[in-house]
Amino acid sequence: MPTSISLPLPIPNLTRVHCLNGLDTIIEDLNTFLDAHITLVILGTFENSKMLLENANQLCLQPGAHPDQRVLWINDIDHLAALRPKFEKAIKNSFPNKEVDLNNIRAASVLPKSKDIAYVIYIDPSLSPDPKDKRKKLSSFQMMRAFNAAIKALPDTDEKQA
Amino acid sequence: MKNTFFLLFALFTAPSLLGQSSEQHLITLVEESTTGKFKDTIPYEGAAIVDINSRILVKVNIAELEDQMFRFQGIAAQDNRLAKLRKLNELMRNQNDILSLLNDKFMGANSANAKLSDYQAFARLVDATFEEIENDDEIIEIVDSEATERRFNREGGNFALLVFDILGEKAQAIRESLLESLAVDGKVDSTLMIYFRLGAHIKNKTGGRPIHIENFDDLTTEEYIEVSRFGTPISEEEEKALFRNKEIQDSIGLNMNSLGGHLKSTVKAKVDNLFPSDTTKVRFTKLFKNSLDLLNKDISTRPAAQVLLENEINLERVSRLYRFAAENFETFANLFPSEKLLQNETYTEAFDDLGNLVKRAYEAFHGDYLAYSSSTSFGSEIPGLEQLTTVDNSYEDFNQKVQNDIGEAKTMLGGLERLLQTFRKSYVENEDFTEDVRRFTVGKIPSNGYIELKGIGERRAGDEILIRAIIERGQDKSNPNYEDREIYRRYVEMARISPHLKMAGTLVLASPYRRTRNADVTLENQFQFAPSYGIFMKWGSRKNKFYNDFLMPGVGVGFSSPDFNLDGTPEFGAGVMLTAFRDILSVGWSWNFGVDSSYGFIGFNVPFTVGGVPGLNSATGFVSD
Repeated sequence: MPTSISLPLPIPNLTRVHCLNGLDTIIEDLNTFLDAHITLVILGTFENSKMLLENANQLCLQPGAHPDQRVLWINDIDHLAALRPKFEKAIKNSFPNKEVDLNNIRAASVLPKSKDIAYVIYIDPSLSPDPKDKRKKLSSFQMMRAFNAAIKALPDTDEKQA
Repeated sequence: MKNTFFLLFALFTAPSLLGQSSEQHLITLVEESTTGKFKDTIPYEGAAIVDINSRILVKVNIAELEDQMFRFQGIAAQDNRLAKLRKLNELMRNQNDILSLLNDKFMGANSANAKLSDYQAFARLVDATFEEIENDDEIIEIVDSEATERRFNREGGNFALLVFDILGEKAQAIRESLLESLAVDGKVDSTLMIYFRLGAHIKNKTGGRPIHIENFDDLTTEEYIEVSRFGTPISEEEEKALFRNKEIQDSIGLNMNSLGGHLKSTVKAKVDNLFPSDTTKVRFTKLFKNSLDLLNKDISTRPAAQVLLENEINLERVSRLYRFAAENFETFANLFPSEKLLQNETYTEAFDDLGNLVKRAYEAFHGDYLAYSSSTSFGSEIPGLEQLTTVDNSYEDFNQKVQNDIGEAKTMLGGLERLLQTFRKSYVENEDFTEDVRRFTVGKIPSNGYIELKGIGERRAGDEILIRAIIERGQDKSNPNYEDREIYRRYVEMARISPHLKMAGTLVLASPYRRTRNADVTLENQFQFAPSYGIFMKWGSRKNKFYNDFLMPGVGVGFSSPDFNLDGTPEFGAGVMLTAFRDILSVGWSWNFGVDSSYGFIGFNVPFTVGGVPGLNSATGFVSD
């Protein structure tokens, strides 16, 4: 059973939006965090980031949100570079038949434990060869879809545990 | 070209078809047991049979309904706004389910008990709608926008509900633009406004009465009655409830008979007394004949007799029509309170004819009498004038009384016809909605309602629920703009579907096995009649009306009292039995404990008694399914 980790909050009042610690333990921190949460990983900096992060935080707190929903914002270039291979591998595992450009990914929802990617949000959706992706740019609408995709894909262990 | 068209059509319709198979149906009925164990959609066509203790959910397809309402208003089907409104309404069809789920699982204290399956159900519902939104280029622009981000950031709450708010606002804007055509000086003309109404009636032998549909009317629920399945086959209270309808029917029948009988006796009194003028008529006719004989005897008074003679034929006509009118009057009394009565206008016509004939006959006689009395050819004394004056006075009296009687009879007939017309009207119009059935304008129509069958009062297996929906232009039927159209009509029959116990008495023909080996069995015939009483389990069908109305098999135990040793004292027998055809036929195997003999039997639920077989009383022994 992975130990939960509480990562720093980039914006103090956003209790569900976290960022990573120092570079040294970044992989372990990420793994621990992802294992314990239904995570929406947001990559890089973007326009209206404050409002969108506040809205992402609200999506994790709203009625009907799973208590394990979290947002992990990775906006440090060094962190992004360090994690790039891991993301590439996860994308390939999750979408083996789909051409996904890592440089065009803005956010992705990740399942705990398996760390499979459930849903991808793009920086510029028009660059995706899949026409179904044409509306998938960062917004509350897409972030909620990303969380929903992850929740739907979770193995139902409630009854088994009970 | 053709293929392209079909492909486009398929692409356009596929999401909605995939989303909900019943999309094109205006109203979907779902039967749900009150325990929640059974839930199934009632077929849109064919037999619609539900359990008598269940609940009928009524789901309204708002997208289809608003489309029909605006088209009834006169908006062209090709108007793009209608298509947009339909799409928005379709997108909002999950709103209630999402709200219910939020309230049931994630609000307040409930949120602590929410399971992953609840979160997944919520995610699936929301995502089904979001996916449809994302596939619609126009609506996604409205929903997934900078303005939406700012609003969510400002208002918080659940994002899905915000999306529904945005869709609802857009739909309302379209509705308002469609209603603009009804505007007079900026306000919608209420006489042109289109309303939706949904109501239900229970239909049985007594006619029908409105019943409550939650969210759609202001009718109060009636007495709570659950038709029992187990326990004693029929409790005192249940028996009262089940037979109350019968009592009402009997009472109505009795009252109608009593009213009919009362009318007949009234009418008979009238006819016997016919009219009162009947006595006058007899007296007058006798006077007329006697006068004719008298005046005819003397040659000097024969001219006066001639006046009578010339009018005698008129008096004959009067008598014939008089009898005809009296017969009509009796026919009227005998027909009462038949509906045929209302379609026959000959009764009042006959009286009019009689009145006119008597009047004309009298006037003809009186004219002849005046001419005779003013004749100058007889000198100072006119022979027989005194007798003619007596006849004229009597004729006038007779005419006056006949006219009075006819006036009274017509008044009574008119009153009775109006009374019957009201009865007939109320029977015909009992499908019409009362003011308790609410009117809804577009945008305010509830998408769900339900009929709690346990709350509709007395009901019996075989009674039907009629669910109707109409759209109306205006509210006042007297307004020239008013128009209504029935857009949904479905009968749902109530039956005892769930397994239930029933008791029934029957007459069996028992045939003992191996009778030669048992000295106690001294039967001479192959079969012996014996009364039997059975307790058996039955169950109904949701699909087969024939099964419910006719086959309806049962399986259980039977008790009978044959007399195999013919000593005059019945023995006790018990065993298993099967019944069918509404218990008319039964077969089984039993053991006679008195003579230790097994026997097979076949039973008939016969509507007559058999000599020497005691104990069967169909009035108490048989209970309807």
